[in-house]
Amino acid sequence: MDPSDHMLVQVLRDPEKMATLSLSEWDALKPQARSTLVISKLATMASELSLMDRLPSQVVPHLTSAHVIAARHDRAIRWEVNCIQRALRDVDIPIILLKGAAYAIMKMTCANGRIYGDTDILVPKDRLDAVEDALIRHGWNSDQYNSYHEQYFRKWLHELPPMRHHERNTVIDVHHTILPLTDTLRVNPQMLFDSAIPTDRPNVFVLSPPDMVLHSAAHLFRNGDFVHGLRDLSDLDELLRQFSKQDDFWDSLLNRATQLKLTLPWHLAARYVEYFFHTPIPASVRQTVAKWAPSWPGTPVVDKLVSRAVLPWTVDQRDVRRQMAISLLAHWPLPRLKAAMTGLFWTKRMPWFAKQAAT
Amino acid sequence: MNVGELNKTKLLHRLGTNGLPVRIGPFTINFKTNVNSLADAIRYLYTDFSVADKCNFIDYRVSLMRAGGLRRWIAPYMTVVAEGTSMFSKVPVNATVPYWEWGLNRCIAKFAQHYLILHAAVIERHGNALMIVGTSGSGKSTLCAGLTFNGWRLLSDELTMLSTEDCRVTPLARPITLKNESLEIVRQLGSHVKIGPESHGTVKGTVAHARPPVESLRRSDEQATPRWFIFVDYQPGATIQLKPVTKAQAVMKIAHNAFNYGTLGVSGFESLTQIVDTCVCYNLTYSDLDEAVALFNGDQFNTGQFTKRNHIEFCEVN
Repeated sequence: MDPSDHMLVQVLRDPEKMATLSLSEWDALKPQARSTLVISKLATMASELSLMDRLPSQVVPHLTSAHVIAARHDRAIRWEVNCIQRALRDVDIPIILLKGAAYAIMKMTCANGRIYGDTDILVPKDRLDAVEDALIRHGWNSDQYNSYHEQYFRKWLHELPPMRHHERNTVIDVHHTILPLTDTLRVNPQMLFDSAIPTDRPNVFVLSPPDMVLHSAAHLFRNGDFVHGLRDLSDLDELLRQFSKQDDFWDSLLNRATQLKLTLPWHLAARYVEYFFHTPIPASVRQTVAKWAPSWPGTPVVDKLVSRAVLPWTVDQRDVRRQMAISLLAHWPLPRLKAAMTGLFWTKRMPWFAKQAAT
Repeated sequence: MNVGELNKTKLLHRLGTNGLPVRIGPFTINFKTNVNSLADAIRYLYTDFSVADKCNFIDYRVSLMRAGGLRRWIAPYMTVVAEGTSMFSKVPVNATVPYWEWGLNRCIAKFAQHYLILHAAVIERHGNALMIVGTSGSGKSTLCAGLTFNGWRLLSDELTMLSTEDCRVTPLARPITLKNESLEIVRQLGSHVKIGPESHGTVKGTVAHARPPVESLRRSDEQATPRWFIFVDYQPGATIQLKPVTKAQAVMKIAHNAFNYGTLGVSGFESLTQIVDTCVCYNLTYSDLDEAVALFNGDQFNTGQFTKRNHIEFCEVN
């Protein structure tokens, strides 16, 4: 399916179009925007472009509500970063904010009307224990997991088991690198620390522009986290549009992709931001990126899977088709042989199988 | 046209296919379900609600669906989805009606952030709204039902929606959720109380719902002015007692019982303090519903003109 036919994609590309939609078009669009988390983005754009007065009166309360939610998320993520900063003050290490938290603290354009989930931070691997202890002392704790789950996180993933704050109920993911250790691709986190950019907060950093784009791409196309696929692709689109104003951003992005060995996820990210959002990518860059296509499955298959995972099919009931695509994409990158040979890997990926085997 | 005027086959068909748009307070909510027991309960509880057939904009789409295909036979499950977002992923087969109502609550509390929404029952008389605040099991819904079926107009038994602009209460009359012992007490209020099917053994015990009075539905666009906050506490054997609460205490208690006080930020604080400023707040301890109904139907609360003076004097002593 061509995403250009999709109303949601059309208004994200061209927010002015919101003023021309009929009430029944809004009737279809609003729940789709809500279920993909971009309704707050639409609400923010509508108020920035002063379109609110030109929208049907029934639609306005929904956008007002989405706007309120976006403002709340913006406040909450800043407060969360304050709390994390305070908790880790004594550990005295550089913390890199990843994804949403970084966009919010750096006031990037993609942070406007963004909805945040967990807070992700990257810390040096050798200080992981100290970070975990400090967070526990300040009220975060691992959710109740069975030992398999926890072992899997500690042995094979790029992060500690998610920790939830007992009062605020917020979740922090503490990363020591950006790709799971099961992944055939390897990123040296030291390289990320070396080029990280300081913020106005002591010891708090964000990734450099090319790394920020590459991490976002890797998160989507290597971790296969397509649950908020449309929001994440729209983040990538806005990151690229914002950074491309800097001189030689594209060159440094291409070099960095090769250096970090993230050419494959960057190929896919470039393909799909263009596919969905018509992001202006220079022709020379596009040529280079085209060489980095995955060997399997074929482009039409990935196109179809990504479209299905990103765009809602039904909002009236559980979106089985979308969930199926999300689940296929999550399992697409095959694990390293060494990881696949361990029992732990399979008990995590096929918990129902493990449960049966245990009984 | 009302839900009850549709014949049963047609209703089941519509609920199972495109859904049935039902007018609830300020919202048009599309009901969708392929579970027959729930469809029957909807037919019974929502019989006087109007069907918004001519409306071409749905505010919220809510569905409770049994999974199809193989999952109908192997490890069957049901889900409540609102606006493409999962509200409950595993609904017990015997509790579809309570989960449906909880799903609607969750949907409105989550998506209608243009109101300040309190976890409180609210009823109205002479344009004055009385908010009943209390945790689960505090006798909130029982008192709400008692007053609803004795002269007060039901605005909502679970979600009090306050405008952040003019601080008035928007009605959201829906079936009243009743649990365990309160079911029998409310049933005894008279034959005009219509109670739907009971679900036994849910997370909150036995749950059933009382159909809202036609009067409440007919006047669902008439807003009311908040006047009283009652922090209710049901205690078996206790003598009825109404004790004033200071404004500051009241604000803290209400904020604690609000769904989106924090989400609204500054405007939440401003609206809430403004509302509490114009209200009189009491702690109520009761054990007998009839006594409580008699109290609220007494002169102090039942007046065409809101006499703030006697209430305020009562409060300022403390």
